[in-house]
Amino acid sequence: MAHDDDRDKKISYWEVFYDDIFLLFFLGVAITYILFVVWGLMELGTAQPSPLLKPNI
Amino acid sequence: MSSWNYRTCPTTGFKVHNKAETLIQFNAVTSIVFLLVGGIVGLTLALTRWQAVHLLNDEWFYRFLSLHGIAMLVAWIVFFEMAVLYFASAVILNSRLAAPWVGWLQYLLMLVGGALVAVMILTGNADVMFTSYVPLKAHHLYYLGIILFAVGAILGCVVFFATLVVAKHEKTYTGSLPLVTFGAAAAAIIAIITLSAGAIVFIPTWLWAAGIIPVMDSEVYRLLFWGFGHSSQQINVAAMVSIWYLLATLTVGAVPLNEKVCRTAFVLYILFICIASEHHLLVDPGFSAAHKTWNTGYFMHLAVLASMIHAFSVPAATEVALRKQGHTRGAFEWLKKAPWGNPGFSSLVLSVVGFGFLGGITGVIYGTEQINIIAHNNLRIPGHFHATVVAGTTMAFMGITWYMLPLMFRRQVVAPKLASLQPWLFGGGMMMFSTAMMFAGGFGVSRRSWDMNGVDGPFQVNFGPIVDLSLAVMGISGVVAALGGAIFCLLAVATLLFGKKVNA
Amino acid sequence: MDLKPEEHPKGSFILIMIFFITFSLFYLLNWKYLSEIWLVG
Repeated sequence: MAHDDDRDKKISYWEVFYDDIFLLFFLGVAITYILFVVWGLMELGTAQPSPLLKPNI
Repeated sequence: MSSWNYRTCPTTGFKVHNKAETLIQFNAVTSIVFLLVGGIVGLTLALTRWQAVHLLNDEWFYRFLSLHGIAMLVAWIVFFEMAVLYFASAVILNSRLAAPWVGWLQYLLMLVGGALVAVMILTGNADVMFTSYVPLKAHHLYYLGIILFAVGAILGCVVFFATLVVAKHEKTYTGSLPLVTFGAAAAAIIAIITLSAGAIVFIPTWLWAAGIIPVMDSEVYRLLFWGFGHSSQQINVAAMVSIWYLLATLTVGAVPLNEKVCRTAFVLYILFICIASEHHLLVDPGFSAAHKTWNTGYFMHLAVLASMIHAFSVPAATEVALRKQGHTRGAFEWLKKAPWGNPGFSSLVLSVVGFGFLGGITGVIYGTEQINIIAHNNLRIPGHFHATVVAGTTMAFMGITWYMLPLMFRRQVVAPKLASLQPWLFGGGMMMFSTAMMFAGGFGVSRRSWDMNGVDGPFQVNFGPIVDLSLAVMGISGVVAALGGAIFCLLAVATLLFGKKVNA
Repeated sequence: MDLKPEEHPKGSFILIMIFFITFSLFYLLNWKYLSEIWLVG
């Protein structure tokens, strides 16, 4: 039993972080959506028309 | 409670919930059906790109290419992954499956969606390739089929996570999740990211194809499609790596040298692997160099680091296990004395080598922004992904099947000598196939082209005999790999129908 | 994991070094060929 108490005391913060699957889920979704999707959509939304475009005569 | 019937596997000691077992069986068998369909059309494609044979006409080439992409990249692999998720949650954790009826809904939606997509393609209503880039427009039922498939897969992931909660609550395991289950959880998280991006892109595209909304912006489509399309391959990576650890344990009794490091690598996958979908957008206008560089580099190559960790961890664990069995002479006696006749072991090694050397190296290089300018849209790209998805992931899934047949289907594998040969035919053939493709692509041979010489086009291109030779090597290797794939499907079905019952 | 000296994964270390050398060579070759096609300045 004393050994179990020692074991409990020694669980590192990394292990607690890795054991929280739903926190990892949230971070994975957030990082992907922010860095790739949202940033990408912002860039597409603010893209200027090409200077090579010729107006219709 | 009365429906919670378990059996205890005499080989592994796992408590197997009967409902989980049935779902695993149905998903696994269905995956092999799609593998067979995709494999047959894949063979016809290889025999068409081999210019000397040029089997299909242009119409059927593009049609079969669309079907091959969907059947292999999506259907075969995701059905198999559903089986893996149920196994990694319910079986490895000795738990009951949470809400089996949702699992059956998953299966039904994926089956109906997959069948609908296949029918739409074969009837000529969706000659739009796997990527279905807007403004190419397929029949709206094609997009609906993909949506149904994706919703089904999301439900499968939900059942997986719910089973993890149930297992923890009912204390069917102690401590942290086992490494294989942790890897499967990484795959499931990536799957949710993938499928949600898929929903965001395919629902408006479906409405556009049905004429309900007037416009679908093609660059927005590409951004979101690849959020779905490449991330779906990263699910495969995470699932494949989990299966590497499982196969290493089952074949030689390997244990990871340092589980903390392995778990860190899976966490890096969860956080950073999906953003690398950017490498499909490197030649696209509209995105800044900053967006391209941050994302295509897997966030400073942290997810590539994760792959490097697994690339050392899996062989090292295997080597230590074999050295503990007494094979300690020199640097490589363990490799010589390894159980090469075991199809699970040879599949593991071929998968690691194919994915790592051929697929991984070429992927990072072709995904470099500047190099991509000359690699984009030629055969180097399918050469790369046949090394990763086929020689890598598919090989690993085939390897674990040789264990799943006796353990989950409780049938002894028929023709074990042929089963030992199968990984070499398939893996070896596919590695040669990828190499030949990349060689031809290096000369500029375009991908997704029925004829490389520009027949009937405004420009004729003569690539020269070296390219004809490499395409012939590609064609022949494709035939060898298809033979390996056919033997796999044949033995799997024969085992299910005629295999001796074991662990009864 | 505590390993005895004969259990250390020397072979895997060599294989990984071969992998890294292959990676570097292929990367450098691709950049070299690109530099010959895409002249800057």
